[in-house]
Amino acid sequence: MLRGLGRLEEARSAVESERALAERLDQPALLAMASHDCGMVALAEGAYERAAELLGEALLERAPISRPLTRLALAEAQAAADDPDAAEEQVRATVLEPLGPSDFPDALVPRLARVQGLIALARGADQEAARRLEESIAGWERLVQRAVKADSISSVLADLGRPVVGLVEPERELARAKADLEQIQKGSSDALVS
Amino acid sequence: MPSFHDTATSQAPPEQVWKLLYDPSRFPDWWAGVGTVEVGGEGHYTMYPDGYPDFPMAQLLGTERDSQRVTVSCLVSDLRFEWRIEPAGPGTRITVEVEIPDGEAHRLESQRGVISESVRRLARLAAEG
Repeated sequence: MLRGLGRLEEARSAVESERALAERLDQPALLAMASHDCGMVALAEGAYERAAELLGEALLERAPISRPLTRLALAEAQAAADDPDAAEEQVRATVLEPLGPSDFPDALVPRLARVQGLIALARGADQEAARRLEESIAGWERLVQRAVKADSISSVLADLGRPVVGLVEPERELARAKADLEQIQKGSSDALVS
Repeated sequence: MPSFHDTATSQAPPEQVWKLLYDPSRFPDWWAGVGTVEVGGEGHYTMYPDGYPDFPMAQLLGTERDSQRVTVSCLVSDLRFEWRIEPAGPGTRITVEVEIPDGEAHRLESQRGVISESVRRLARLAAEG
């Protein structure tokens, strides 16, 4: 929740406490869940290599996390850490994961398209990146029109039995995809000027 | 209950097929006979058959935690389409199992044709990226 609000220092403090408790209890599922939460905060902070390490650990055990969403977050971290091949492997693994309601299947498509865009960007394939980001933006725009936040919250509570995790916020995702695309377009125009 | 299955192999990687399969708004691009789609929430959508814009057909796209398949159920006629994808070398094998309720058994042959065309269109479209 704190991560979603952009209060990253407080979020980091909270997940570090969570991780310390999980280590004390020494239960693999709790440790994996704490790794997931720490990894998501690291990703938001731009600590991509650390995020990739933590999110990778989260996938090792049966934790109450969304595996497809975690794989996509891991792929995003790997792409940002300049490892597009590993990121592509995670994208492929994502689509072979079973899906449940708390994975928000309808939101996975634009989310995956954005990560494909980031992978293309890491490879220097700007045109491909722009195409994937436009695909993602179109998908999020459709979701913004019909999103009901209460449904998302109840899906997570019912499916994973824990408070809001991986909640889909189409407006926020749309803004992120647009910002990514603007960066590419700005990069292209800068290249033309220089 | 009448049933059949069909399969095709796409040169596209699984994620390209997956995006088309999990997004009902893209169904008119590959599913034969689907004219337009209005997407609702929680997997619900309304399909309007090609040439019949006044005939809404409620559909449900469902996934299950313990399987890797996506199921499309027609809530009007009870036809059920279960799609699976799996890696096949650099590409993807697409398989669809179709169940037709006894009351709709007369549609078996026409559905075979529709699905045969659709699964191949899906394979081609995914390969186009």
